[in-house]
Amino acid sequence: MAENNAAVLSVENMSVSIKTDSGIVRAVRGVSFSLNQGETLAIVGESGSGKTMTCKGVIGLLPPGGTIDGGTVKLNGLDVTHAHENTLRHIRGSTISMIFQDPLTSLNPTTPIGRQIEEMMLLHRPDMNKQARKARVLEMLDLVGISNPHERVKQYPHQFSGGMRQRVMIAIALTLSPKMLIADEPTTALDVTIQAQILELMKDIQRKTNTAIIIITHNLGVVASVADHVAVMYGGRIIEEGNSDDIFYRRKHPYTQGLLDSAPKINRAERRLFSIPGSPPDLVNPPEGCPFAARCGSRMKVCGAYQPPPIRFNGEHSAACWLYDGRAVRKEAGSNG
Amino acid sequence: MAETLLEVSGLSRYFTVGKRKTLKAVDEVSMTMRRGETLGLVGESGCGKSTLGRTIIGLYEPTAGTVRFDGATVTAGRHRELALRMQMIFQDPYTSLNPRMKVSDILAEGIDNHRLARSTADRSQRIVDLLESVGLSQEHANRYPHEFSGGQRQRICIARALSVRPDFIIADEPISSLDVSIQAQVVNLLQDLQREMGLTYLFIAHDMSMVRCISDRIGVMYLGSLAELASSEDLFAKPLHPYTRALLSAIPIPDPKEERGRRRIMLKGAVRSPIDMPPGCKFASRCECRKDICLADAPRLREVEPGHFCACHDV
Repeated sequence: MAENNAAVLSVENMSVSIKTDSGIVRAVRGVSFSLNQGETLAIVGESGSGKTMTCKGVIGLLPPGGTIDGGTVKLNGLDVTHAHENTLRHIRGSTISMIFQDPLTSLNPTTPIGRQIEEMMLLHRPDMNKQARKARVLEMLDLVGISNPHERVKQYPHQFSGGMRQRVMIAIALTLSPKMLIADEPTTALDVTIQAQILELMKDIQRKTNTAIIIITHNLGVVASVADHVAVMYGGRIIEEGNSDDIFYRRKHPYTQGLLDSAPKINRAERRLFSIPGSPPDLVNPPEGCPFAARCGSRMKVCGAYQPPPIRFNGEHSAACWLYDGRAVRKEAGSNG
Repeated sequence: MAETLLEVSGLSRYFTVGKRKTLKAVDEVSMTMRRGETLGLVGESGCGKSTLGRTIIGLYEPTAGTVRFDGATVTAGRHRELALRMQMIFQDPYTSLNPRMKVSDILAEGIDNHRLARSTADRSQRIVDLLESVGLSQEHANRYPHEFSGGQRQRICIARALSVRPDFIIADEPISSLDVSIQAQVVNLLQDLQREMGLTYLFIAHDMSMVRCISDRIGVMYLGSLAELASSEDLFAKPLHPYTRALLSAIPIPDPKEERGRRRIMLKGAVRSPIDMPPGCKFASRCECRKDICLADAPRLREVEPGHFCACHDV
């Protein structure tokens, strides 16, 4: 994604490590991307690929023991990589917001939802009076498609269905009109008909408010339906990125290929699914070379030894794979012949 | 292949909630399964697909109706032979394996309980065979569940189900908690095992595209009843029930061009509560093609075309 002045978010070579009982997990190992106003970036990858930690690093919500140990994060041009918690607290909610997979555990069960939406304004907008806040709460509920808002504000989270709770989460996240929303698997816990409603809602809100959205998902159908740009993560790195068409129709990296092939197609009958043998690398001792080398069908000698640099194909499409590096391919051919 | 293995007729399972309120989790479901086939059961959360599976295998006593397996009636206190022939695989491979037991002991539990092994050597040989049949190896036998990844744990669960050499396996969302590339491995494994051992599967899932790959026939459930039941091809080529049509159109396709040109049938609202349902069609409150009769009278599942069953007044 080309660097330009309108970038809401730009992440440069960011690394995240997490101290755990079994050692230091190198969860994110040097990722770079940027995002403009009104655009949607989908970060795709399997569990443990580092997609959630990338976003938590961006918003400053790393778990205990987690630190950004390299690179920079710029929000609206402001470097927030090692910002103080007070600064971050000010930024979160007003500039950048996040919604999570499970809306039930993210909402307070003892507080009516109207109050939970209002809380955002109590914390960030001392200039708003009670009337203005109440009006904004109703406006937000209306925006996210919750009917009967006057009744609903008084109700508690358990009185809402899963899809409605996710709508409430979106309302809370967008109350202060942030420039950017991070949605971490927002529809994974929902049924498909409800998932369709929530995705439609997110697209609709983006059209109205021009919010930049990062959506983290492992569902390639969701990616195809909402994303402008896609970053594919594996073993803590972005191994391929580009616009949606680049990734779906002109993918280069063998992992992207495998991921797309292993997703069953609803519109095509097939009995045998493609599957990638093996399992993802252990990030306590990350592999020296390409993280996918151990499972890759087109592996060369160089792959296990050196990390491939990103190779640019056109505009924003790039893949980190030695197959597209002339030197590596010539060397491999030479050593075989 | 035409031999009937399982016959479910008028099966209901109700639960009492609160004071004299009834939750009809499964409501008069009838269907048959042939030996060697895979029947996929899909529907949204709370539609009763898991309860149906559990009632069929006898984990729940049916409120009404019967389940006949290979000619014998299944009841909750069923006899030994049926227990051997029907097995279940659960969604979460993390909670369905005892963390304090070694893999070898987990696999041997069924063999020991039913005294299937002739000798100690036979017992260990069976364990090795089971591990190999699911793509694991001998050295995994002495490890504990926490040493395995999600996909490997699900393989252990499959091996455990196979340990008593069943004919029929109910797989309740066996791949939902796994990553996409691992899901494909497990689905392919289930298909290989079916071919080798002539297994019959009831495959319960909410992911329609995965179900399509593995199933010969698919049943769509809504609030405890079967809305539609047809061969995989027919169901996807010409879905008849308005709910099936909405369900299929809600699934996002991993193809951006197709997604852009797609018109979705957006269902309004969510699934209603299955407690104290009014008469009439259960889907009526969300249905595009609702008529007066739908509110008064519940449609029955009937054969609309050969092998294609649908419960809708409008079809």
